[in-house]
Amino acid sequence: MIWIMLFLGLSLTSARIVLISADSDPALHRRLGDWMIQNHAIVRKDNLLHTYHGPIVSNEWLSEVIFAGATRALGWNGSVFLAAVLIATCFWLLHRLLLAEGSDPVLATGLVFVATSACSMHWLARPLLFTHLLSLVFAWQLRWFQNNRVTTRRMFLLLPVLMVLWVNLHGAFITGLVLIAMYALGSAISAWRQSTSLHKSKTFAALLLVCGAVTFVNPNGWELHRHILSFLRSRELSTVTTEFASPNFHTVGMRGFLLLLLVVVTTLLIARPQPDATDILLVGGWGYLALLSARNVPIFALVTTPLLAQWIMEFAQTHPHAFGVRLCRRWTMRITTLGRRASDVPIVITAVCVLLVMAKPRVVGGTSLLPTDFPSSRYPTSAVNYLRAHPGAVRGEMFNYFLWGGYLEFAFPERKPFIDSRNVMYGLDLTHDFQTVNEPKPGWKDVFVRYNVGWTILPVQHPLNRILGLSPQWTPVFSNELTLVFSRTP
Amino acid sequence: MTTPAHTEPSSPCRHFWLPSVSTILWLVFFLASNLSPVRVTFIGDDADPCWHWQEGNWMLQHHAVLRTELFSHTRGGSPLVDLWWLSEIVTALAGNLLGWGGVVLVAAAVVATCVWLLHRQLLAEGNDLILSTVLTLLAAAVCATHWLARPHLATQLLVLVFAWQLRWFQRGRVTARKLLILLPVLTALWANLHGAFIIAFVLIGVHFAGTVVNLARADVDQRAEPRRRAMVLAALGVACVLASLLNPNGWELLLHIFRYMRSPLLMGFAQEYLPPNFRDPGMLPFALMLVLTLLTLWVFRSRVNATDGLLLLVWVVLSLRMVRNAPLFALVAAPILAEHWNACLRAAAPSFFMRCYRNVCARLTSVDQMAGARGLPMLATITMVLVLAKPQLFGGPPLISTELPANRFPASAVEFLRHSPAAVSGEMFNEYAWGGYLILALPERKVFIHPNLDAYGEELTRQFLQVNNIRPGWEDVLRRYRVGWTILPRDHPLNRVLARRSDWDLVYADPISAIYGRKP
Repeated sequence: MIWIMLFLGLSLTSARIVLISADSDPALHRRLGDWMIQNHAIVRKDNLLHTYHGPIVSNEWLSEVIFAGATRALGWNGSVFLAAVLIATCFWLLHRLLLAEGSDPVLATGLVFVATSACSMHWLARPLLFTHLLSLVFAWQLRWFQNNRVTTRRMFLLLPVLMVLWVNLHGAFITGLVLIAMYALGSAISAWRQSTSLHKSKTFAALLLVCGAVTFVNPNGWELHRHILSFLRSRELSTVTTEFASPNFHTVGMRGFLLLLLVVVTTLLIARPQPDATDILLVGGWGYLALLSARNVPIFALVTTPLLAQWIMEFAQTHPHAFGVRLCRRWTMRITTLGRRASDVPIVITAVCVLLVMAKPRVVGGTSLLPTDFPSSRYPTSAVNYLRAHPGAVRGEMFNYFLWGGYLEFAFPERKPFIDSRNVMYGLDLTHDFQTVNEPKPGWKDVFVRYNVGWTILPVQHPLNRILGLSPQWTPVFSNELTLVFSRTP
Repeated sequence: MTTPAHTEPSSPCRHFWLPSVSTILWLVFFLASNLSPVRVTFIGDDADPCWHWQEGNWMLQHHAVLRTELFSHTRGGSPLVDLWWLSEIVTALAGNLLGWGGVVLVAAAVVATCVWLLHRQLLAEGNDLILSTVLTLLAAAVCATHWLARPHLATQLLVLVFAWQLRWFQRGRVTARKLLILLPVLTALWANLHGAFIIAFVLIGVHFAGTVVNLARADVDQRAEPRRRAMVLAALGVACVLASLLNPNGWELLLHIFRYMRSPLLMGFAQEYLPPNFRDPGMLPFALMLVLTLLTLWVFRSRVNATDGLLLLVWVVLSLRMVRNAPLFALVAAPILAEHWNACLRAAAPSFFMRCYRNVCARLTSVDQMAGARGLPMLATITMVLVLAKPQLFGGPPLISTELPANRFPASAVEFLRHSPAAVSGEMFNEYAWGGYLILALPERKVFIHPNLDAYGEELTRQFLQVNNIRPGWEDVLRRYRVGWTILPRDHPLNRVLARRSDWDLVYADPISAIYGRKP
């Protein structure tokens, strides 16, 4: 039920537009994936920006190929389908995990909904979704190994293989290594406190070594690790992007995270669980990382939810007559009666039906039943159409709005943008040059001269438009409610 | 409550020259705030102390509370609810007597007293000396992010006193009578010192809720005491609400604050109202305190009572929503954390480390109990007043010069405008962060805006942003308010636009600021 609800909610409602257009990264990834499919090679040198021509470390090449493949087959609906499947599967798995650990169905469902509300602000058709799914699988397997529900052999067979996949799918594969390290440290502390064997801790340490070693199985080898570490060490680079900043609890998107934090603290206060070193490391460590960077909030939610379920169930067993426990039990009895008849077949049927609806233009022709594209209210679609129809209207190189970089790379490939969201790749110098013009600061004209900028494409409200509007060297060539294009007078 | 180890009767011989650790903490924080470069941060981190001083000056000169906006041309003459009139009078008195050094002195005294009081509370609750000192320093590090010579320091001090008294009432160490007399009086004072006095209601409300939970969980024959406490706290809440009406604006003050808090634009405008940025190294003590709180809830799960649990929960949420609540969280949480960690240290097995710790702690405590130099803070204050008053008393240059940092405010531009008043005409459009400074340094000109947004409201704030971010229609706003000149940071984007306008001229520029004037 959870799978179907999430999948249908994401693929059939207006949420599908948000999945592809909340930022323009899906377009950027599609462009890169398309290039790799066409050329049967991995991107190693940037050819998308006119400001940067250096080498690139493609840290999510496999995701880009998968998303591009899906999009080639079904248009933007392909990306939506894939993202919806990944998201729905992630929370379906979380629900299954909670139930398999003996959670009450009502409690498990409630906690999964709290986790979805915390993660939803990061639901975008981007490679990050693979990290969410794989983080859950890693956390699950590690937890079950610690609880003796998974054998050493299975863990050593499964997790390194998944790690090889992860390292090629998304740069946040180090999340898996951090999870293993937390389990290794937590087990060591517990063993030391209880004067028991260090066997589990040593197994986790060995797994960490194996998983660490297999991360070199990627097209860039150790260069990938150097690249990611240099990004994480750069305070400035990692704060340019909003998702790497601390969560802003004034925004609606962060209410889910705040709710989850409240549930964690309230559970600690009321259920008073037995402290375990690994649990403390997981909740404290991922809690801190989530406060440091909003991007880590979903990982915190996925790691913490099974712990919450366990604590609440332990409390329910020791307090069987508490009001909440009795209420939960009454609901559970009704749901379990229905659940006995449930199977996973509807999931397959739903997925196939939606796939057929999305594939309708390919299968039977005509227009799409689910038109999905970048909305013209947020992206300069009309400006791009105009420029394509009037290629002589602008000359020289482009200066673009930061958030439109990926979109322009995809929708207007004949012109190269000034910047896109890959600041991790092109570094601080170009970021500073961009900020000098974007703010704009003294020296912005020098930047234009250096990069031979001949035209700009910016939101109407952008301050640079006011300056260019007063300059006789610049003329507006296109404007609508969203976009203003200025061109340098010959 | 554990037996107060620190105050165990040992009849020590007291030395009049020996300061206690609490007194040393007071002296260190007071002297460091007054003598180190930190004193410039107190007054120069933002320009708020400037306009508070100027508003206080007006009230001193007119023997009246400020009731209309006087310092801006955009809202000039409109009604004003002054949330901090009493603090502003104190600031103006100190500033008029001793210059900026006087303003810093008052702020330093409040900060040092806050640290001292917290340390005394932790010791009086029976926590060991080392733990009390470490937690006090950690709480001070959290508070330090917001140590500015502004009225909110009064809120930090009063939150500490309220939290302390309510906590001791719950533990039977303060009588209902004392509580019902002291806290309403302090609320009346608080309501006139700073607009955040509504925190008093939050603290009382949380204690009331915690007591009700305890009442519900208690056996029938043990409900009399929690019921009595709940009734006292309810009466206290009512008394404090009534006491808060004892201010020049009456109930309008409360309405004004609630209206302000309901505006997302105004609440999201100032940096201090935003959530904490944990990438900022200054937030590390707060992060540490959060981790310590989580650990406390977990490790001492069976001993944290409902009231303490609720206090931690509410203040964690409030401080995550607004960084300006982080110091208040630290002051409320420190005694709760100390209680449980102290019990943990006492119960710990006598390992080598614990033996060393207890020996050092016992020795320090015995020395601390011999301390008798209670007058040192007074002596230090008087000495500092004399040092600051040297120019007035004996003439000559000051021994400690405290001025606003020249690299943050447009001092040279103001000097230029004073010497060449005809260089600009019409009204001013100013940098938001300089509004307070301009009110004090250039009183003959009225600002467009300054960081007292509740006086300006949402509409004017939006109009300010329209011009500041050069959004379409910015010229209409300038025309509507007859703006004839701008004073902005040199790198401000609006300067780039005005430089290209034929109807505007560059009047003045230095490395900090640029003034553009509209051509006649």
